[in-house]
Amino acid sequence: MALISDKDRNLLKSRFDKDLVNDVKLIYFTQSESPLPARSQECATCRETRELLEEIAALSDKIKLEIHDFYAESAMATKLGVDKIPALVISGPRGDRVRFYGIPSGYEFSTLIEDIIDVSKGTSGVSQKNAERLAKIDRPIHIQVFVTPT
Amino acid sequence: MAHKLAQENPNITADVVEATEFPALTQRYNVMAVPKTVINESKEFTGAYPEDRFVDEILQAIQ
Repeated sequence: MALISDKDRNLLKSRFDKDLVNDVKLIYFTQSESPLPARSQECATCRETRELLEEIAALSDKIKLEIHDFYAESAMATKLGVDKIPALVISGPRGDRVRFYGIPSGYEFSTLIEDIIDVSKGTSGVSQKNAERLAKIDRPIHIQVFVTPT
Repeated sequence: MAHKLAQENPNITADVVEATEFPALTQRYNVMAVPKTVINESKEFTGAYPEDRFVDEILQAIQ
């Protein structure tokens, strides 16, 4: 059973057709979906998140989904700074520093769609003044925003 | 908002973390209400800050 309704699927598809510019990579870290999890800790939302991302990626040729095993490909995860799953890294012309940890449901789903479009366009919508203030930052900034599924 | 800011500087990384799936992290930062934002594992604020104020918080975090 599809996670995204047909109506929403069509709306998203036209949105993507209209707004996507560059290719966007969805780099998804999960665990292998065998009956026995790789580690003792099971990732409860990994499968559903994968299904959701597959449905999204199917809506545009410009969205490329890559699925990686967090445990088998730990070097890649470390390199990207991914330390927990499910993890989605949205990668585009301006980099790969936009992440979602956990299933992007409810309000976060629309955030995800907007992020895919922003990353594809290489824009952020940030004001000129704030873009200048941010551009001056010369050391690492790690922002974590905690949300709940609505 | 954080994701938009991350696009503006290669030094900035932004994570959206679904709190119910990561209880240890949620406890570590004492997340009681969302959205709760944590900058460089130290500066924290709760609520959806507008862009200007969010940027203020980031600049203060690195002072």
